[in-house]
Amino acid sequence: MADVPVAPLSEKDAPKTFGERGASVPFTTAALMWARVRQRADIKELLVPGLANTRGIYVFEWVGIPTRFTLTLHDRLLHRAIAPEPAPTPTMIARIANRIALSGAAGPDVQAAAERRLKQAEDLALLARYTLTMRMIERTSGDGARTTVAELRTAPGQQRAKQLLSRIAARYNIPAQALQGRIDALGASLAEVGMPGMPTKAPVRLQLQQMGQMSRVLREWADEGKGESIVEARLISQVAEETCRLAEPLLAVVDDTTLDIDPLLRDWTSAERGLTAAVQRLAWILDGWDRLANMWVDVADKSATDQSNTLALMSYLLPMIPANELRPEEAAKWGELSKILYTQARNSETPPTGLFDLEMMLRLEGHRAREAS
Amino acid sequence: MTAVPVGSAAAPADVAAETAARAKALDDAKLQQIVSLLEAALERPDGATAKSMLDQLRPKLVEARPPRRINLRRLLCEPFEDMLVNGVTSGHLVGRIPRSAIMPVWDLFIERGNRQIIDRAQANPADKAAVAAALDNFVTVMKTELAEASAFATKGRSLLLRLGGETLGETHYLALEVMVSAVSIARQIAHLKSALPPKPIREFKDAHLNELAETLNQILKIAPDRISTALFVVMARMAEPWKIATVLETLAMTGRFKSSAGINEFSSAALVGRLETQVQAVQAFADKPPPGAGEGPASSGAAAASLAADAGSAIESLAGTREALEKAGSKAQLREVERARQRLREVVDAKIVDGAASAIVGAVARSGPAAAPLSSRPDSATLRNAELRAVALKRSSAYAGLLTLEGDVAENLRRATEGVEKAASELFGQIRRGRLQGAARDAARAHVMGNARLMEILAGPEKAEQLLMRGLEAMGEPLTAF
Repeated sequence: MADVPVAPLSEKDAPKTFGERGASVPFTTAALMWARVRQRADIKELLVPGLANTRGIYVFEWVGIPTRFTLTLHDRLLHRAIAPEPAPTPTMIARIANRIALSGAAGPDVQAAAERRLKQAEDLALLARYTLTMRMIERTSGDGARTTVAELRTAPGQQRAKQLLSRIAARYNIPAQALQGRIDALGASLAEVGMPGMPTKAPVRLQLQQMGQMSRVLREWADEGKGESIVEARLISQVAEETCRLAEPLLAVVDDTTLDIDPLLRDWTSAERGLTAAVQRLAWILDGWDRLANMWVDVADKSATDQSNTLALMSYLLPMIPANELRPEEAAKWGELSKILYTQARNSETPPTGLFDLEMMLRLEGHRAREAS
Repeated sequence: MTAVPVGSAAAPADVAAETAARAKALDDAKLQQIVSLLEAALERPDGATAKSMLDQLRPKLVEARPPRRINLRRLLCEPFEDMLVNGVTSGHLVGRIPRSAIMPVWDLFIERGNRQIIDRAQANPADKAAVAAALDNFVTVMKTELAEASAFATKGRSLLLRLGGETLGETHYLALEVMVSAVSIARQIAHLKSALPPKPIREFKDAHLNELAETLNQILKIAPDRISTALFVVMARMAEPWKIATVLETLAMTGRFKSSAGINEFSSAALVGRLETQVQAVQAFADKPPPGAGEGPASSGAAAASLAADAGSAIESLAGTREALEKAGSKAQLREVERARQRLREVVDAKIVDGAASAIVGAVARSGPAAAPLSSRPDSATLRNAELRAVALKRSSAYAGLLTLEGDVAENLRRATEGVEKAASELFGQIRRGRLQGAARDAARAHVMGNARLMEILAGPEKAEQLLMRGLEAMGEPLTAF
């Protein structure tokens, strides 16, 4: 397949589904800092926005990337690791990227961050399992039985929890082993999103909070006319706000389903399907925002000119929600935002060159280390 | 059931990291509440703890920007805030105010100023008239202090002592003069700030030049000796302050504002002063022992990498200043610029270039299997230090020409690259002979990657990939092993 430049991108050409939009890839090569990967039939494609100083998205066949760009060592490994995988999703890309980061290819700081992230994921899965277990015990034990985290760290505490779970399993005609398996699987799937009552705020909730704060800060920035990129600041603020709004009902699905434990235990398969769908959709909706937030944090204490340039660049790469992923009542609002985006014709002042850029590589590695701090 | 961790999922290593992690999770309402409490505590005598907590919260504050308390001291500093510099205590103070001068000057104002006027403004910092009256009072009181100090030697000594004693008194005295000058034209400075583009100003459009000329003419009428102060503010807001001479020339040629020769001299002196500030900051940074010196081997590399970035900004400023002064400066000023260049050259040579190759190659050897068994992973701190030294060296290559260091930088880069290459070859030989399994294999892979990463910084990703492939080949693994 030949490389297909689609420039300039119009609303008409915009991706219609999350799959078409592709999953963002944490490359450290300057030109690919906003790139996404998607699957078309049996080939993978790399989508690169912002090249050649246009609003277009260039599409390259995945296998040919190393001949098109001077990739960093980390990206050469990442490229090879993604190639044989099935259709990419944000969760899959995050998993592969963390594996490559663990190798040290992006330096010791990113490696240490990847180790922290792995540990955090294990801890969060454990906390999610604990929260689910406790909720079941509390709701289904008439005697108001409770087990604390500290108790669960002891052998008698674990034994007691097992006994209580066995009683619950019997009440719902589920084998005790199967109930434990279900809790473990659900805990792992809910770790990133978290649920009410978990002692630690999960990454997805932290990201939404950060997006909310960024939305407010950029709205104030635009209202106060702090720099030239007022339209961009307002647009990014609105898109962040609307994205958070889209995430709310999905979080509500997670919260309601895990709070109301009886229906979950009665119809586990369907409830679990709903939860998994909500978690996956949240991952797609938020995909790409961590890098945008990092870009803003990089310039949050810099001059208005630096902020304006960054905002212009950020506006190019806004993760807009594809039309087919929206409900009719949401489509109008997003349609308006798309119109503003595609009529903004300002050029980025920092066009990537495609050459090896040590400073940008270090900056992008800094983002990876920061995300896991 | 597996054991569950107590408390936070993350286990921050120290208090600062823990504060940062906690701050990250704060929502807007909680953050605002905390900041408001801490800012109120700042004004108390035991405000140091609040200040240190606010410092720890700073990354979160920069990102989330909760509304800050307005207070009279902050409003008083607004006219000269662009001229504030950190930690400068000597040298050319033209157009610069050390931040350390604020508190002694403020305390003096609180003591000698009109209590009623100050209290009214402090109680209502949003009341523009009350604040304007307090600022006027500041100018009146401080002008008297300065006049008496210059007329009577005893008063002068007493003021110097009051402002900072033997070490800082004179610097703060000069700073007070600039402060008074700026506060006396606070309205005009505020107007300039709102009428000109946000800083750093890269270009003055015609409308901006009109605004600038109008304000300067206004100041010329009411206080002609304050023109230089207004220009210092404008220069401090420019991306390339050395272009101030061109701006003044344009204003003069179009008849909008005619500056005197003295003004040009002032602006040239300010440029030299600004350059000196940057060079002093670079020198001070270079002389400072790295945090945790002697504890973490990565600290010296981190210092070198930061120094290389700071030196880059100072050198950019040096090039611009030299160009401007070649047209409009004096020979003496050009000699000062040359001295600044020499000082930068010495710092960059001593702290970044000289011995860089040996440090990098030495670190590779220390973290490698020659120093420890191949079955143990490389020491990550030592490797990080080598990486940062390499980053510093690469950064310095961008401006080595201006410092006449290009030969030394190139030579160090060549020696470092060859050294890493040689260390890698020895490592691969050991791997081949070792027939490694399990954990030893993982450790060897980490050694290979460490070398490849270093090679990427020194010579680019192409060479790094070649080295990585050779390492994996020695291990009998494909490139998809990661």
